Amino acid sequence: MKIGLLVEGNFDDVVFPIIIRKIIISYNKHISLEWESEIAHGPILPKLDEATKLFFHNEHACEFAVFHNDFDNEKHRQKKITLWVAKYLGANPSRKIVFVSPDPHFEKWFVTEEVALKHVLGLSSTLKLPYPSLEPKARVTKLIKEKNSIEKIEREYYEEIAERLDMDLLGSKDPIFKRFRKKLLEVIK
Amino acid sequence: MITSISVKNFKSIINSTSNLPRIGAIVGQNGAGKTNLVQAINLVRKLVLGINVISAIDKISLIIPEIYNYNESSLDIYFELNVENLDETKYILEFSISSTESQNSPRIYIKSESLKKIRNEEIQTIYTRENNILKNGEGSVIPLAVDETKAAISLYQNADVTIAKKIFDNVVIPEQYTIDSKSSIVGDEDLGTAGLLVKLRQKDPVNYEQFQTIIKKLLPMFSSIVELPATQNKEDSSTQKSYAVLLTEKNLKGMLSMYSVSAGDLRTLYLIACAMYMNKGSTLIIEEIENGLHPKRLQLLLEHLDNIARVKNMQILYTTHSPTVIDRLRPEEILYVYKDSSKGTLFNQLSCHDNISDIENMLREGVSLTQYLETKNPYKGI
Repeated sequence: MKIGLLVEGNFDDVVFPIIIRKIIISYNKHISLEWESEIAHGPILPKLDEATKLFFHNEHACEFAVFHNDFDNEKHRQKKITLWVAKYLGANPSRKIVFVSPDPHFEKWFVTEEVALKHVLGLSSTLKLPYPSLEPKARVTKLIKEKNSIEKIEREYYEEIAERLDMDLLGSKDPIFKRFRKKLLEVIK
Repeated sequence: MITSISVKNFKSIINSTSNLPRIGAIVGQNGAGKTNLVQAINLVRKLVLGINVISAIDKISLIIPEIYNYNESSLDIYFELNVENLDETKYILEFSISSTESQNSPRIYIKSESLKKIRNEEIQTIYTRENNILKNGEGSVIPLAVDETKAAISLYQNADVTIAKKIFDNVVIPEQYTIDSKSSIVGDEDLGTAGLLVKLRQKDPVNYEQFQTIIKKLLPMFSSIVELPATQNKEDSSTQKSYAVLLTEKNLKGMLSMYSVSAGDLRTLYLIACAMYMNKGSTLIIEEIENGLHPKRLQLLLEHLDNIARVKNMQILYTTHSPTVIDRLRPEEILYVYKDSSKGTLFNQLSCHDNISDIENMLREGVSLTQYLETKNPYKGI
Protein backbone atom coordinates (compact mmCIF):
# COMPACT_ATOMS: atom_id res chain seq x y z
CA MET A 1 0.00 0.00 0.00
CA LYS A 2 1.50 3.28 -1.15
CA ILE A 3 0.69 6.31 1.02
CA GLY A 4 1.31 9.96 0.23
CA LEU A 5 2.30 12.09 3.20
CA LEU A 6 2.37 15.88 3.20
CA VAL A 7 3.72 17.30 6.45
CA GLU A 8 5.08 20.56 7.81
CA GLY A 9 8.53 19.15 8.61
CA ASN A 10 8.83 19.94 12.28
CA PHE A 11 9.32 16.31 13.38
CA ASP A 12 5.87 15.43 12.03
CA ASP A 13 7.85 13.83 9.18
CA VAL A 14 9.08 11.33 11.81
CA VAL A 15 5.96 10.97 13.92
CA PHE A 16 3.19 10.61 11.31
CA PRO A 17 4.62 7.62 9.41
CA ILE A 18 4.90 5.82 12.77
CA ILE A 19 1.38 6.73 13.92
CA ILE A 20 -0.16 5.86 10.52
CA ARG A 21 1.72 2.54 10.45
CA LYS A 22 0.54 1.68 13.96
CA ILE A 23 -3.09 2.48 13.09
CA ILE A 24 -2.99 0.44 9.85
CA ILE A 25 -1.22 -2.50 11.46
CA SER A 26 -3.83 -2.56 14.23
CA TYR A 27 -6.34 -3.21 11.42
CA ASN A 28 -4.27 -5.57 9.30
CA LYS A 29 -0.74 -6.47 10.33
CA HIS A 30 0.07 -8.00 6.95
CA ILE A 31 -0.21 -4.76 4.97
CA SER A 32 3.14 -3.63 3.70
CA LEU A 33 3.57 0.16 3.47
CA GLU A 34 5.39 2.31 0.97
CA TRP A 35 5.72 6.09 1.39
CA GLU A 36 5.79 9.08 -0.90
CA SER A 37 6.61 12.05 1.32
CA GLU A 38 6.57 15.78 0.77
CA ILE A 39 7.90 18.09 3.48
CA ALA A 40 6.64 21.67 3.27
CA HIS A 41 9.18 23.17 5.74
CA GLY A 42 6.35 25.26 7.13
CA PRO A 43 2.57 25.34 6.60
CA ILE A 44 1.47 22.91 3.88
CA LEU A 45 -0.88 25.34 2.10
CA PRO A 46 1.49 26.33 -0.76
CA LYS A 47 2.46 22.68 -1.31
CA LEU A 48 -1.03 21.22 -1.82
CA ASP A 49 -0.96 21.32 -5.64
CA GLU A 50 2.57 20.00 -5.91
CA ALA A 51 1.97 17.22 -3.38
CA THR A 52 -1.26 15.95 -4.94
CA LYS A 53 0.43 15.83 -8.35
CA LEU A 54 3.26 13.85 -6.82
CA PHE A 55 0.94 11.49 -4.93
CA PHE A 56 -1.84 10.86 -7.46
CA HIS A 57 -0.95 12.00 -10.94
CA ASN A 58 1.81 9.62 -11.89
CA GLU A 59 2.26 6.00 -12.95
CA HIS A 60 2.53 4.58 -9.43
CA ALA A 61 -0.13 6.65 -7.71
CA CYS A 62 -0.67 6.48 -3.97
CA GLU A 63 -3.78 4.73 -2.72
CA PHE A 64 -4.48 7.60 -0.37
CA ALA A 65 -2.74 10.60 1.16
CA VAL A 66 -2.50 12.08 4.62
CA PHE A 67 -2.05 15.83 5.01
CA HIS A 68 -0.90 17.15 8.37
CA ASN A 69 -0.85 20.78 9.41
CA ASP A 70 -0.98 21.84 13.05
CA PHE A 71 -3.89 24.13 13.91
CA ASP A 72 -1.53 26.64 15.57
CA ASN A 73 -4.46 28.96 16.33
CA GLU A 74 -4.67 29.72 12.59
CA LYS A 75 -8.34 28.97 11.91
CA HIS A 76 -8.23 30.84 8.61
CA ARG A 77 -5.39 28.66 7.29
CA GLN A 78 -7.01 25.44 8.45
CA LYS A 79 -10.23 26.46 6.69
CA LYS A 80 -8.34 27.17 3.46
CA ILE A 81 -6.77 23.72 3.50
CA THR A 82 -10.08 22.04 4.28
CA LEU A 83 -11.76 23.86 1.38
CA TRP A 84 -8.90 23.04 -0.97
CA VAL A 85 -9.11 19.34 -0.08
CA ALA A 86 -12.92 19.31 -0.48
CA LYS A 87 -12.64 20.99 -3.89
CA TYR A 88 -9.91 18.60 -5.03
CA LEU A 89 -11.87 15.52 -3.92
CA GLY A 90 -15.00 16.93 -5.61
CA ALA A 91 -13.09 17.12 -8.88
CA ASN A 92 -11.26 13.82 -8.29
CA PRO A 93 -13.77 11.53 -6.54
CA SER A 94 -11.60 8.43 -6.85
CA ARG A 95 -8.80 10.00 -4.74
CA LYS A 96 -8.66 9.75 -0.97
CA ILE A 97 -7.15 12.36 1.34
CA VAL A 98 -7.21 12.47 5.13
CA PHE A 99 -6.46 15.92 6.48
CA VAL A 100 -5.60 16.17 10.17
CA SER A 101 -5.03 19.34 12.13
CA PRO A 102 -4.22 18.68 15.79
CA ASP A 103 -5.11 21.57 18.07
CA PRO A 104 -2.85 23.40 18.73
CA HIS A 105 -0.20 20.95 17.49
CA PHE A 106 0.49 17.22 17.38
CA GLU A 107 2.61 17.35 20.54
CA LYS A 108 -0.73 17.65 22.34
CA TRP A 109 -1.10 13.93 21.64
CA PHE A 110 2.19 13.19 23.46
CA VAL A 111 1.04 15.21 26.46
CA THR A 112 -2.50 13.78 26.43
CA GLU A 113 -1.41 10.15 26.21
CA GLU A 114 1.55 10.98 28.51
CA VAL A 115 2.55 7.35 29.26
CA ALA A 116 4.92 7.17 26.27
CA LEU A 117 6.38 10.60 26.94
CA LYS A 118 7.05 9.79 30.59
CA HIS A 119 8.59 6.43 29.72
CA VAL A 120 10.95 7.75 27.02
CA LEU A 121 12.06 10.72 29.10
CA GLY A 122 12.42 8.66 32.26
CA LEU A 123 9.80 10.68 34.17
CA SER A 124 7.81 9.24 37.05
CA SER A 125 4.64 7.52 35.85
CA THR A 126 2.80 8.51 39.01
CA LEU A 127 3.69 12.21 39.12
CA LYS A 128 2.03 14.84 36.92
CA LEU A 129 3.89 16.07 33.85
CA PRO A 130 5.82 19.23 34.69
CA TYR A 131 5.19 22.67 33.15
CA PRO A 132 1.38 22.48 32.74
CA SER A 133 1.25 26.20 31.86
CA LEU A 134 3.28 25.68 28.69
CA GLU A 135 1.70 24.89 25.31
CA PRO A 136 2.26 21.23 24.34
CA LYS A 137 5.05 21.89 21.78
CA ALA A 138 7.01 24.11 24.17
CA ARG A 139 6.35 21.65 27.00
CA VAL A 140 7.63 18.62 25.08
CA THR A 141 10.66 20.56 23.79
CA LYS A 142 11.52 21.77 27.30
CA LEU A 143 11.22 18.27 28.76
CA ILE A 144 13.42 16.81 26.00
CA LYS A 145 16.03 19.55 26.38
CA GLU A 146 16.16 18.91 30.11
CA LYS A 147 17.50 15.43 29.29
CA ASN A 148 20.58 17.32 28.00
CA SER A 149 21.86 14.37 26.01
CA ILE A 150 24.73 15.24 23.67
CA GLU A 151 24.28 12.02 21.68
CA LYS A 152 20.55 12.02 21.12
CA ILE A 153 18.71 14.65 19.08
CA GLU A 154 15.12 15.82 19.50
CA ARG A 155 14.07 13.89 16.39
CA GLU A 156 15.09 10.60 18.04
CA TYR A 157 13.03 11.34 21.16
CA TYR A 158 10.01 12.14 18.97
CA GLU A 159 10.51 8.85 17.14
CA GLU A 160 10.69 6.84 20.37
CA ILE A 161 7.67 8.58 21.90
CA ALA A 162 5.60 7.98 18.73
CA GLU A 163 6.61 4.30 18.71
CA ARG A 164 5.37 3.88 22.29
CA LEU A 165 2.10 5.82 21.94
CA ASP A 166 -0.93 3.75 22.93
CA MET A 167 -3.40 4.41 20.10
CA ASP A 168 -6.43 3.22 22.07
CA LEU A 169 -5.58 5.33 25.10
CA LEU A 170 -4.95 8.38 22.92
CA GLY A 171 -8.15 7.75 20.96
CA SER A 172 -10.10 7.70 24.21
CA LYS A 173 -8.64 11.03 25.33
CA ASP A 174 -8.30 13.17 22.20
CA PRO A 175 -11.32 13.66 19.88
CA ILE A 176 -9.19 14.97 16.96
CA PHE A 177 -6.99 11.89 17.09
CA LYS A 178 -10.07 9.67 17.41
CA ARG A 179 -11.55 11.20 14.22
CA PHE A 180 -8.20 10.91 12.43
CA ARG A 181 -7.91 7.21 13.26
CA LYS A 182 -11.50 6.59 12.19
CA LYS A 183 -11.03 8.36 8.84
CA LEU A 184 -7.76 6.55 8.22
CA LEU A 185 -9.33 3.16 8.85
CA GLU A 186 -12.23 4.10 6.53
CA VAL A 187 -9.92 4.88 3.62
CA ILE A 188 -7.97 1.63 3.91
CA LYS A 189 -11.04 -0.57 4.12
CA MET B 1 31.04 33.57 21.96
CA ILE B 2 30.88 36.56 19.63
CA THR B 3 27.69 38.51 20.31
CA SER B 4 28.13 41.33 17.81
CA ILE B 5 30.48 42.63 15.15
CA SER B 6 31.12 45.97 13.53
CA VAL B 7 33.38 46.26 10.48
CA LYS B 8 34.54 49.29 8.48
CA ASN B 9 36.61 49.38 5.28
CA PHE B 10 37.47 45.71 5.20
CA LYS B 11 37.25 44.31 1.70
CA SER B 12 33.65 44.78 0.48
CA ILE B 13 32.38 45.86 3.92
CA ILE B 14 32.42 49.67 4.01
CA ASN B 15 30.48 50.01 7.23
CA SER B 16 28.17 47.45 8.80
CA THR B 17 27.22 46.26 12.27
CA SER B 18 25.11 43.41 13.58
CA ASN B 19 24.44 41.15 16.50
CA LEU B 20 25.29 37.51 15.83
CA PRO B 21 22.98 34.62 16.67
CA ARG B 22 24.12 31.83 18.99
CA ILE B 23 23.19 29.26 16.38
CA GLY B 24 22.47 30.36 12.86
CA ALA B 25 23.38 30.91 9.26
CA ILE B 26 25.13 33.62 7.31
CA VAL B 27 23.07 33.88 4.15
CA GLY B 28 23.39 35.91 0.96
CA GLN B 29 23.97 35.66 -2.76
CA ASN B 30 27.33 34.79 -4.31
CA GLY B 31 29.67 37.75 -3.98
CA ALA B 32 27.54 39.46 -1.31
CA GLY B 33 30.40 39.37 1.19
CA LYS B 34 29.67 36.40 3.47
CA THR B 35 33.24 35.13 3.29
CA ASN B 36 34.58 38.65 3.88
CA LEU B 37 32.61 38.77 7.13
CA VAL B 38 34.05 35.40 8.19
CA GLN B 39 37.53 36.59 7.20
CA ALA B 40 37.07 39.71 9.33
CA ILE B 41 36.34 37.52 12.37
CA ASN B 42 39.27 35.26 11.51
CA LEU B 43 41.64 38.21 11.09
CA VAL B 44 40.75 39.56 14.54
CA ARG B 45 41.10 36.07 16.01
CA LYS B 46 44.57 35.68 14.51
CA LEU B 47 45.68 39.08 15.80
CA VAL B 48 44.46 38.28 19.30
CA LEU B 49 46.36 34.99 19.22
CA GLY B 50 49.61 36.82 18.43
CA ILE B 51 49.91 36.44 14.67
CA ASN B 52 51.26 39.62 13.11
CA VAL B 53 48.97 41.53 10.81
CA ILE B 54 51.05 40.79 7.69
CA SER B 55 50.78 37.01 8.24
CA ALA B 56 47.14 37.33 9.31
CA ILE B 57 46.14 38.84 5.95
CA ASP B 58 48.34 36.41 4.04
CA LYS B 59 45.54 34.15 2.82
CA ILE B 60 42.89 36.79 2.39
CA SER B 61 44.65 39.10 -0.03
CA LEU B 62 47.57 38.96 -2.42
CA ILE B 63 48.41 42.63 -2.06
CA ILE B 64 47.56 44.91 0.86
CA PRO B 65 45.29 47.36 -1.05
CA GLU B 66 42.99 44.42 -1.80
CA ILE B 67 41.62 44.59 1.74
CA TYR B 68 40.56 48.25 1.69
CA ASN B 69 40.09 49.07 -1.97
CA TYR B 70 36.33 49.48 -1.79
CA ASN B 71 36.56 52.78 0.04
CA GLU B 72 38.72 55.50 -1.44
CA SER B 73 38.18 57.95 1.41
CA SER B 74 39.95 55.98 4.15
CA LEU B 75 42.81 53.53 4.49
CA ASP B 76 41.86 52.61 8.05
CA ILE B 77 40.23 49.29 8.68
CA TYR B 78 38.15 49.07 11.83
CA PHE B 79 36.80 46.09 13.75
CA GLU B 80 34.74 46.00 16.92
CA LEU B 81 33.74 42.65 18.38
CA ASN B 82 31.59 42.15 21.46
CA VAL B 83 32.35 38.82 23.07
CA GLU B 84 31.32 36.99 26.22
CA ASN B 85 32.43 33.91 28.06
CA LEU B 86 30.40 31.23 29.79
CA ASP B 87 29.88 33.25 32.98
CA GLU B 88 28.60 36.07 30.74
CA THR B 89 31.57 38.38 31.35
CA LYS B 90 31.43 40.71 28.36
CA TYR B 91 34.23 42.48 26.53
CA ILE B 92 34.47 44.90 23.63
CA LEU B 93 37.61 44.58 21.52
CA GLU B 94 38.40 47.29 18.98
CA PHE B 95 41.14 47.39 16.38
CA SER B 96 42.04 50.02 13.85
CA ILE B 97 44.50 48.84 11.23
CA SER B 98 46.11 51.31 8.88
CA SER B 99 48.53 51.25 6.01
CA THR B 100 50.78 53.63 4.18
CA GLU B 101 51.05 53.33 0.46
CA SER B 102 54.51 53.13 -0.89
CA GLN B 103 55.44 51.86 -4.34
CA ASN B 104 58.09 49.45 -3.15
CA SER B 105 57.08 48.42 0.34
CA PRO B 106 53.52 48.95 1.51
CA ARG B 107 53.33 49.10 5.30
CA ILE B 108 50.40 47.80 7.33
CA TYR B 109 50.22 48.28 11.08
CA ILE B 110 47.90 48.41 14.05
CA LYS B 111 47.03 52.06 14.60
CA SER B 112 44.83 51.75 17.66
CA GLU B 113 43.34 49.08 19.86
CA SER B 114 41.31 48.84 23.02
CA LEU B 115 39.74 46.28 25.31
CA LYS B 116 36.79 47.24 27.46
CA LYS B 117 34.84 45.18 29.97
CA ILE B 118 31.11 45.49 30.46
CA ARG B 119 29.97 44.92 34.00
CA ASN B 120 26.49 45.79 35.24
CA GLU B 121 26.00 47.84 32.09
CA GLU B 122 29.04 49.97 32.97
CA ILE B 123 31.97 50.03 30.57
CA GLN B 124 35.42 49.74 32.11
CA THR B 125 38.51 50.28 29.95
CA ILE B 126 41.13 47.56 30.43
CA TYR B 127 43.70 49.11 28.08
CA THR B 128 43.99 51.40 25.10
CA ARG B 129 46.70 51.56 22.51
CA GLU B 130 47.60 54.36 20.11
CA ASN B 131 50.32 53.23 17.70
CA ASN B 132 52.95 51.74 20.03
CA ILE B 133 51.83 53.41 23.27
CA LEU B 134 49.81 51.25 25.62
CA LYS B 135 47.81 52.73 28.51
CA ASN B 136 45.76 51.11 31.25
CA GLY B 137 42.22 52.03 32.23
CA GLU B 138 43.42 54.90 34.41
CA GLY B 139 45.39 56.39 31.51
CA SER B 140 48.86 55.44 32.82
CA VAL B 141 51.39 54.25 30.28
CA ILE B 142 52.05 50.52 30.44
CA PRO B 143 55.76 49.88 29.92
CA LEU B 144 55.45 47.22 27.23
CA ALA B 145 57.25 47.21 23.90
CA VAL B 146 54.53 46.70 21.33
CA ASP B 147 55.39 45.71 17.78
CA GLU B 148 53.36 47.81 15.34
CA THR B 149 52.24 44.69 13.47
CA LYS B 150 51.13 42.80 16.57
CA ALA B 151 48.06 43.20 18.75
CA ALA B 152 48.79 44.39 22.29
CA ILE B 153 46.20 41.94 23.60
CA SER B 154 48.51 39.10 22.56
CA LEU B 155 51.36 40.50 24.69
CA TYR B 156 49.79 42.25 27.68
CA GLN B 157 49.49 40.19 30.88
CA ASN B 158 46.27 40.99 32.72
CA ALA B 159 43.44 38.89 34.15
CA ASP B 160 40.79 40.40 31.85
CA VAL B 161 43.09 40.19 28.84
CA THR B 162 43.62 36.50 29.58
CA ILE B 163 39.86 35.89 29.68
CA ALA B 164 39.29 37.83 26.44
CA LYS B 165 42.16 35.97 24.73
CA LYS B 166 40.70 32.65 25.86
CA ILE B 167 37.38 33.57 24.21
CA PHE B 168 39.17 34.15 20.88
CA ASP B 169 41.30 31.05 21.37
CA ASN B 170 38.00 29.17 21.45
CA VAL B 171 36.89 30.49 18.05
CA VAL B 172 37.44 27.84 15.37
CA ILE B 173 37.04 28.46 11.64
CA PRO B 174 38.15 25.26 9.86
CA GLU B 175 39.87 25.69 6.51
CA GLN B 176 38.32 23.74 3.63
CA TYR B 177 41.57 21.85 2.96
CA THR B 178 41.65 20.74 6.60
CA ILE B 179 38.14 19.31 6.37
CA ASP B 180 38.97 17.60 3.07
CA SER B 181 42.33 16.20 4.25
CA LYS B 182 42.64 12.52 3.36
CA SER B 183 45.69 11.96 5.52
CA SER B 184 45.39 8.78 7.58
CA ILE B 185 48.89 8.68 9.02
CA VAL B 186 48.91 11.49 11.50
CA GLY B 187 51.29 13.05 13.99
CA ASP B 188 50.49 15.43 16.81
CA GLU B 189 50.35 18.52 14.61
CA ASP B 190 48.05 17.18 11.89
CA LEU B 191 44.73 19.00 11.64
CA GLY B 192 42.70 16.85 9.22
CA THR B 193 39.92 14.48 10.28
CA ALA B 194 42.32 11.70 11.29
CA GLY B 195 44.42 14.07 13.39
CA LEU B 196 41.31 15.48 15.02
CA LEU B 197 40.07 11.98 15.93
CA VAL B 198 43.37 11.21 17.67
CA LYS B 199 43.23 14.51 19.56
CA LEU B 200 39.61 13.94 20.57
CA ARG B 201 40.40 10.46 21.89
CA GLN B 202 43.40 11.78 23.82
CA LYS B 203 41.54 14.78 25.26
CA ASP B 204 38.41 13.05 26.49
CA PRO B 205 37.70 9.33 26.03
CA VAL B 206 34.06 9.79 27.16
CA ASN B 207 33.50 12.47 24.52
CA TYR B 208 35.18 10.18 22.01
CA GLU B 209 32.71 7.39 22.78
CA GLN B 210 29.81 9.85 22.46
CA PHE B 211 31.27 10.99 19.14
CA GLN B 212 31.28 7.40 17.87
CA THR B 213 27.66 6.93 18.99
CA ILE B 214 26.63 10.00 16.97
CA ILE B 215 28.65 8.93 13.94
CA LYS B 216 27.03 5.49 13.95
CA LYS B 217 23.68 7.23 13.50
CA LEU B 218 24.90 9.55 10.75
CA LEU B 219 27.01 7.03 8.82
CA PRO B 220 24.96 3.82 8.92
CA MET B 221 27.78 1.68 7.52
CA PHE B 222 30.34 2.97 10.00
CA SER B 223 31.44 0.47 12.59
CA SER B 224 34.50 1.73 14.48
CA ILE B 225 37.69 3.76 14.41
CA VAL B 226 40.97 1.91 14.69
CA GLU B 227 44.17 3.68 15.71
CA LEU B 228 47.36 1.82 14.99
CA PRO B 229 50.67 3.10 16.33
CA ALA B 230 52.94 4.01 13.44
CA THR B 231 56.18 5.85 12.86
CA GLN B 232 56.55 8.51 10.28
CA ASN B 233 59.76 9.76 8.78
CA LYS B 234 59.61 13.46 8.21
CA GLU B 235 61.70 15.25 5.59
CA ASP B 236 64.28 16.18 8.22
CA SER B 237 64.72 12.44 8.94
CA SER B 238 63.54 12.76 12.55
CA THR B 239 60.92 10.28 13.67
CA GLN B 240 57.85 11.35 15.58
CA LYS B 241 55.08 9.46 17.33
CA SER B 242 52.23 9.00 14.93
CA TYR B 243 49.11 6.96 14.30
CA ALA B 244 47.37 5.31 11.40
CA VAL B 245 43.69 6.15 11.76
CA LEU B 246 41.48 3.67 9.95
CA LEU B 247 37.76 3.03 9.84
CA THR B 248 35.93 -0.26 9.86
CA GLU B 249 32.60 -0.68 8.12
CA LYS B 250 29.87 -3.26 8.42
CA ASN B 251 30.22 -6.09 5.89
CA LEU B 252 33.82 -5.18 5.08
CA LYS B 253 36.66 -7.50 6.04
CA GLY B 254 39.42 -4.94 5.79
CA MET B 255 39.86 -1.45 7.17
CA LEU B 256 39.55 1.83 5.29
CA SER B 257 41.91 4.76 5.23
CA MET B 258 40.60 8.30 4.80
CA TYR B 259 41.28 7.90 1.06
CA SER B 260 38.32 5.51 0.88
CA VAL B 261 35.94 7.73 2.82
CA SER B 262 33.58 9.81 0.66
CA ALA B 263 33.80 13.60 0.76
CA GLY B 264 30.41 13.84 2.50
CA ASP B 265 31.29 11.22 5.12
CA LEU B 266 34.67 12.86 5.74
CA ARG B 267 32.97 16.24 6.22
CA THR B 268 30.45 14.67 8.61
CA LEU B 269 33.22 13.01 10.63
CA TYR B 270 35.25 16.21 10.77
CA LEU B 271 32.46 18.57 11.78
CA ILE B 272 31.05 16.32 14.51
CA ALA B 273 34.56 15.56 15.85
CA CYS B 274 35.38 19.28 15.78
CA ALA B 275 32.25 20.26 17.71
CA MET B 276 32.84 17.45 20.23
CA TYR B 277 36.53 18.43 20.63
CA MET B 278 35.86 22.11 21.22
CA ASN B 279 35.58 23.56 24.72
CA LYS B 280 32.30 24.64 26.27
CA GLY B 281 31.34 28.16 25.24
CA SER B 282 33.41 28.00 22.02
CA THR B 283 32.47 29.43 18.63
CA LEU B 284 32.56 27.27 15.50
CA ILE B 285 32.17 28.96 12.11
CA ILE B 286 31.75 26.68 9.11
CA GLU B 287 31.87 27.93 5.53
CA GLU B 288 29.40 26.42 3.02
CA ILE B 289 28.32 23.70 5.43
CA GLU B 290 26.29 21.88 2.78
CA ASN B 291 29.28 21.08 0.53
CA GLY B 292 29.26 17.43 -0.49
CA LEU B 293 26.29 16.54 1.71
CA HIS B 294 22.99 14.97 0.68
CA PRO B 295 20.06 17.08 2.04
CA LYS B 296 18.99 14.27 4.40
CA ARG B 297 22.52 13.93 5.81
CA LEU B 298 22.78 17.70 6.04
CA GLN B 299 19.53 17.90 8.00
CA LEU B 300 20.69 15.27 10.51
CA LEU B 301 24.17 16.77 10.76
CA LEU B 302 22.66 20.18 11.54
CA GLU B 303 20.38 18.68 14.17
CA HIS B 304 23.35 16.99 15.84
CA LEU B 305 25.53 20.12 15.63
CA ASP B 306 22.72 22.22 17.12
CA ASN B 307 22.28 19.67 19.89
CA ILE B 308 26.01 19.57 20.70
CA ALA B 309 26.04 23.39 20.65
CA ARG B 310 23.10 23.54 23.04
CA VAL B 311 24.54 21.01 25.50
CA LYS B 312 28.02 22.60 25.40
CA ASN B 313 26.70 26.17 25.29
CA MET B 314 28.58 26.77 22.04
CA GLN B 315 27.99 29.19 19.22
CA ILE B 316 27.75 27.65 15.74
CA LEU B 317 27.48 29.77 12.61
CA TYR B 318 27.55 28.54 9.03
CA THR B 319 27.58 30.29 5.68
CA THR B 320 25.16 28.60 3.33
CA HIS B 321 23.05 28.72 0.19
CA SER B 322 21.11 25.59 1.09
CA PRO B 323 17.30 25.72 1.55
CA THR B 324 17.70 22.69 3.87
CA VAL B 325 19.70 24.90 6.22
CA ILE B 326 17.86 28.20 5.78
CA ASP B 327 14.31 26.89 6.01
CA ARG B 328 14.82 25.26 9.41
CA LEU B 329 15.88 28.55 11.01
CA ARG B 330 13.93 31.47 12.42
CA PRO B 331 14.54 35.05 11.15
CA GLU B 332 16.62 35.90 14.25
CA GLU B 333 18.92 32.99 13.40
CA ILE B 334 19.69 34.32 9.91
CA LEU B 335 22.39 36.90 9.35
CA TYR B 336 21.49 38.26 5.94
CA VAL B 337 24.37 39.63 3.87
CA TYR B 338 23.71 41.88 0.92
CA LYS B 339 25.93 43.97 -1.35
CA ASP B 340 24.68 47.44 -2.21
CA SER B 341 26.26 49.16 -5.21
CA SER B 342 27.18 52.26 -3.19
CA LYS B 343 27.22 51.06 0.42
CA GLY B 344 29.13 47.83 -0.13
CA THR B 345 28.37 44.75 1.95
CA LEU B 346 25.69 45.17 4.59
CA PHE B 347 24.78 42.51 7.13
CA ASN B 348 22.08 42.24 9.75
CA GLN B 349 19.89 39.68 11.48
CA LEU B 350 16.75 39.17 9.42
CA SER B 351 14.67 39.77 12.56
CA CYS B 352 16.07 43.30 12.81
CA HIS B 353 14.82 44.40 9.42
CA ASP B 354 11.95 46.88 9.23
CA ASN B 355 9.79 44.41 7.33
CA ILE B 356 10.06 41.58 9.87
CA SER B 357 6.28 41.57 10.36
CA ASP B 358 5.87 40.96 6.58
CA ILE B 359 8.39 38.12 6.81
CA GLU B 360 6.55 36.54 9.74
CA ASN B 361 3.20 36.87 7.96
CA MET B 362 4.61 35.17 4.88
CA LEU B 363 6.11 32.37 6.98
CA ARG B 364 2.69 31.80 8.56
CA GLU B 365 1.19 31.49 5.08
CA GLY B 366 3.73 28.81 4.20
CA VAL B 367 6.26 30.87 2.22
CA SER B 368 9.71 29.55 3.15
CA LEU B 369 12.57 31.81 4.16
CA THR B 370 14.46 30.70 1.04
CA GLN B 371 11.53 31.70 -1.17
CA TYR B 372 11.23 35.00 0.67
CA LEU B 373 14.93 35.81 0.24
CA GLU B 374 14.84 34.87 -3.44
CA THR B 375 11.96 37.20 -4.21
CA LYS B 376 12.39 40.06 -1.73
CA ASN B 377 15.41 42.06 -0.69
CA PRO B 378 15.19 42.78 3.03
CA TYR B 379 17.52 45.77 2.52
CA LYS B 380 15.17 47.48 0.07
CA GLY B 381 14.67 51.03 1.19
CA ILE B 382 17.85 51.32 3.23
